[in-house]
Amino acid sequence: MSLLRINGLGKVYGKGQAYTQALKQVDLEVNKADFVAIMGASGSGKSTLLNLISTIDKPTHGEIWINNTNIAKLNNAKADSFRKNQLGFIFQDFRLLDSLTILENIAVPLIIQKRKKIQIEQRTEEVMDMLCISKLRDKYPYQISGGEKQRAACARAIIAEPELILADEPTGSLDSNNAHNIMGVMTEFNEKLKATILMVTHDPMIASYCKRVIFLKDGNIINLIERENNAQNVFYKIIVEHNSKLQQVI
Amino acid sequence: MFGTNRHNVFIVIKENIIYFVTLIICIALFYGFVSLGDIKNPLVQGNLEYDFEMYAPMIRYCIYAVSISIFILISYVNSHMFKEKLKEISILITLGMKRSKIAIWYSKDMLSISALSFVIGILFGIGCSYAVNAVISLITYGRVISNNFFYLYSFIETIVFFIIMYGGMTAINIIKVMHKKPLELLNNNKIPDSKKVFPFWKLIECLLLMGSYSFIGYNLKVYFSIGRNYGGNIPSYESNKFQFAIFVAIIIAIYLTIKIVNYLLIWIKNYKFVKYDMSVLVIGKLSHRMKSVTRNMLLVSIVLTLALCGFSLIPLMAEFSNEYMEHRMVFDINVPFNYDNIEDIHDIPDIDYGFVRNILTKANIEIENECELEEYFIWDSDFSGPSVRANRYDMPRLAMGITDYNQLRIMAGLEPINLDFDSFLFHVKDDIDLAQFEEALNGGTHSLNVAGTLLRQNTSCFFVTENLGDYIYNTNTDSFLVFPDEVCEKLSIAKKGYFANTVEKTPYAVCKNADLEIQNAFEENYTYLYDRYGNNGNQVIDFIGPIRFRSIEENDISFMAIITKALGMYIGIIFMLICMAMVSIKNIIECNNSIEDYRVLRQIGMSEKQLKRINMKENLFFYLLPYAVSIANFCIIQNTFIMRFGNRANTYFHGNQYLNGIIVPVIIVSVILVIYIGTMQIINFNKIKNSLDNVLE
Repeated sequence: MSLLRINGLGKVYGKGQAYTQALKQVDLEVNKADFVAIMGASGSGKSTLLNLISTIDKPTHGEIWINNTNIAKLNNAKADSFRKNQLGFIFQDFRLLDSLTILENIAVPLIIQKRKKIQIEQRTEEVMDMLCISKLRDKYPYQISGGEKQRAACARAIIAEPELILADEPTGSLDSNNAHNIMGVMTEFNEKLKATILMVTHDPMIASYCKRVIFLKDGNIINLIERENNAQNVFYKIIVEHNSKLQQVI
Repeated sequence: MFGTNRHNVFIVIKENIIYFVTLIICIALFYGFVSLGDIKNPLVQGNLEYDFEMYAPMIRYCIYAVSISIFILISYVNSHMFKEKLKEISILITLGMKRSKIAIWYSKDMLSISALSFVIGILFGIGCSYAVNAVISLITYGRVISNNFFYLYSFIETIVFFIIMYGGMTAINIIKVMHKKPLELLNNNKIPDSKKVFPFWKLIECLLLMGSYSFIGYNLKVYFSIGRNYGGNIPSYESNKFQFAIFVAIIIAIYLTIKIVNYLLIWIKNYKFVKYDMSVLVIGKLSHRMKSVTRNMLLVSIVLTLALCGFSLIPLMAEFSNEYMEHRMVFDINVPFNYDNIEDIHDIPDIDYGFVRNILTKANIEIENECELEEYFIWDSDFSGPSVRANRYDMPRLAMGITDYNQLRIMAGLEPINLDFDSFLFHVKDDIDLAQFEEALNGGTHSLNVAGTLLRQNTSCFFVTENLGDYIYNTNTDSFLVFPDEVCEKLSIAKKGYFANTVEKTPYAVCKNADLEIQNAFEENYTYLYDRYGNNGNQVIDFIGPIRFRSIEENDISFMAIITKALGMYIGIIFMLICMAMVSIKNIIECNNSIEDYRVLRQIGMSEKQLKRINMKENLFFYLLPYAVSIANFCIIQNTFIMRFGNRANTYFHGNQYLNGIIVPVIIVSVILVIYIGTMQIINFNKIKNSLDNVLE
C-alpha cells in the first residue's frame, strides 16, 4: 500500500547565472513499512528531495502525495501541523537541544503535539526502554557520546509514531560500530514497528540495511534496486557494484 | 578571518559591530559628562549668583561612578567579542601560526575600531555636551548658556581614559592568546558542564541567603536605633562599619538570590507538570543559561539598583534639602556660637553682638527684628570640655529665658507663650519622632530643682513642638527647656547667638562679604579663644558659625537641588543604559546561539509564533530577574532612607510629594525597560523570522 507518491517533482534554485536545477523530474512511490535509501554523489539532489518531502522546502513543480494529501501545496501552518503529526526526523548532527535532558529531548514531539502528560510519560519510558537508553534519562546531550546521542535522536523520531521517518545521513557523524548499532535500531523500527523510513546516505554498507536503494544523479533517479530475499552482505555487494558503475559513469 | 582583508576596516567593524557601537555610545556619554565639570565650562566658571564650590566635587564623584560603569560595560562587551574570536584563534594556533602574529593582528583590529569609534564618539560627545549643558543651564538659570564647542581638558581626560581601557583590555586578551593552550581557548566559549551541587550545599546557600537578609535587616535596625540624634553627625567609624557590612551583605544576598533562582528553575523543571509541557522548553533554556550568567546577573542587578537610586533617591534628596532649608532657616540671619572645643567653662564668652549689628548696618542690611539668644547649662556639671567628654558627640540639653524664647517666637511669626511663676516648659523640634517624648512625659507632673528654685511644669502649655529653626539648639540635641529669666540669671552661660530678620531680601554677594567680615571681626574681638583653642592638631577651629544668611542658603540649595536632580537623572540614565545594554547584548547573542535549536523545533512541527513566544519568555526573564532583584534592594535602601529621615520627610512633604518622588521614577524606569524590551524583541523576532525563512525557502 502506497504511503508516499511523488509525481514529476522538480526544484530550481536561483536565476540567470545562479540558475541550478537540483531536481529535474522525479517520480517515486514508497509503500507503508518500506525502508528506502537514497544514494548519490554530492549535488545529486538527495538532500533537496528529503527537504521537499519534509515540507521545509517548496518544489518548483510536481506533486508529493502522502495519505491522499498533496503536501507540496500546503501553507505554512498546515505544513507545520503536517510535520508535527506525520513526520519524524533523524539528523546527521543529532540536533538535540542542549538545554534539555535526554528524557525531555525525546518527549519534545509529544509535548509539541500537546498530548496528555501521563501519556507522554508512559510513551517516553517505553521508547527509552526499547532503545536501552533509560540510564541516560537525566543526562544532558553534552554529557553523552555521539552514539548515545543518535539513539536519543532515534527515540525522538519514533516517539510520536509518525507515518514517515526521514533520516539525513544518520550515521555520518558516527564510528562504524555505532553506525551499525544505529542501523540495527532503524531496522528494528521498520520490522517491529512497521515504520516507513526514507534515508539519505552515501555509504553502501549503511544502505544495505534497507529494502530498496534509489540512485540519484543530476536531479534524476537513474536506478532503483531491491533487496528482495538477499542477505545483507549480498545486497551490499550489489549496491557497491551499482555504485561503482555510477562512479564510472561520472 | 585574521590575515584576510585586514586592511579593510569596515569588515573588522562589521565583525565587531556591537563593540563598535558600544564604544561610540560610551565615548559620547563620557565626554558629554566630563565636559560638565570642565574648568572652561561656562557653567563652572563662576557666577555672581551661585557658588560652585559644592558642585565641583559632586561632579567629580559622578565622573568616578560613570567611569567605573563605562569600564564595566566596555570590558563586558570586549570579553564577549573576544570569545567570538577564540575558535578562529585556536584553529590558527593549532595550524602553527605564531601567537605573537595573531596577537598583533588582534591588537591592530581593536586599535582601528577603537580609533574610529573614538572619532565618531567625540563628535557625538560634542552634541551630548551641548544637550546636557543646555538642559542644566536652562533649569538653573532659566536660559540656555552658550556652550564652548570643544573642551580640551575633557578631550584629554576622555582620550586618556579610553587609551588606558584599550591598553588594559588588549593586554589581557594578548596574555590569553600567548599563554593558553588551543584546547583551552576552544573550550572558553562553551557553557561549562557545571559541577553537581549537592542538596546539602544548596541548603547551606539557602540558609546563607536568609542569613544575609536577616543580617541586613538586623543591622539596619541597630544602625537606626542606637539612640543618637541624627540631626547631627553619626560618627564616621560607626557609620562606615554598618554601611560596609550592609553593602557586603546586599552583594552576597543578590548573588545567592540569583543562584537559588537557578536551583528553583531546575527544581520546577523536574516536576511533571513542567517536564511534559511546552514550558519545559523555556525553563530548560533558562536554567541552562543561568549556569553561566550568575556573575553577569549580579552585576546587572547592582547597576540597575544604582540606576533606580539615581532616578529616585538623588532627586528626592535634592527636593528634601530644599524642604529642609525652608524648615531650618526660620530666621534670615543666624550667627550661632558653639563651645564644643572650649575646655574651661569660664572661657565661654558673653558675646556682645554690637559688632555684627555695625557690619550689617554698614552693608545696608536693614534689620526688622533681632534676638541675642542666651542659652545656659541647666547644671554646671552638664559642661565638659572635649578632653574629658566621653563621647565627643554627646552634648547636653540647654535652657533659655522666656523673654528670649518669646522674642524668637515673635520673629518666627508665632504667638508668645505665658510662663507661670516658677514654671518651665519643654520645647522639642517638630521634625523628630515625637512619640517617644510624649510617651516619656505622659502622666504625672514634672518638676525641676534648678539653682535653688523648684520649677513646676507650666500649666497652660508645657510640651511645645513648633518650628523655630535648627540653629537655636545645642549641637546634636533637638530640645531645650525654657525657664523664667530670673532663674536663668543664676545659671552659667553656655552659648550666645545672634538671630535676625531683615526688612528686605539681601543680595547674595552682600551676604558673602558680611559673612567674611563677621568672621574676621569675631576673631579680632575674641583672640583669646583662638590663642587657647584655635588649633586642634591640623584642624582649625571656628567658634561662631557657620554663619547663615537666608539669601545664600536659598540660592545654594536651590541650585544644588537642580544640579543634583539633573546629575541624578543623568547617572540613572547612564546606569540604566549600561545594564540594559549588557542584558540585551547577552539576549541577542543567546538568540543567535539558539537559532539552530529553533530550526530543529520548527522542523519537527513548532510554529514560528510558538518559537517567538519561547524566545520572548526567555528574554523577559533575563530582563525582569535583575529588575525584580534590584527593586527589592532598592526597597531596602528606600526603607533605610525612611528610617533615617522618615519623620522629617513626613513633616516636609506631608506624604504626597515623598510618595511621588519614589513612585514616579520607578514608573519612568519601568517604561524605559519596557521600551528596551520591545525594541530588543523586535530585533530578535526579525532574526528568528529570517533564519527560519532560510530553512523553509
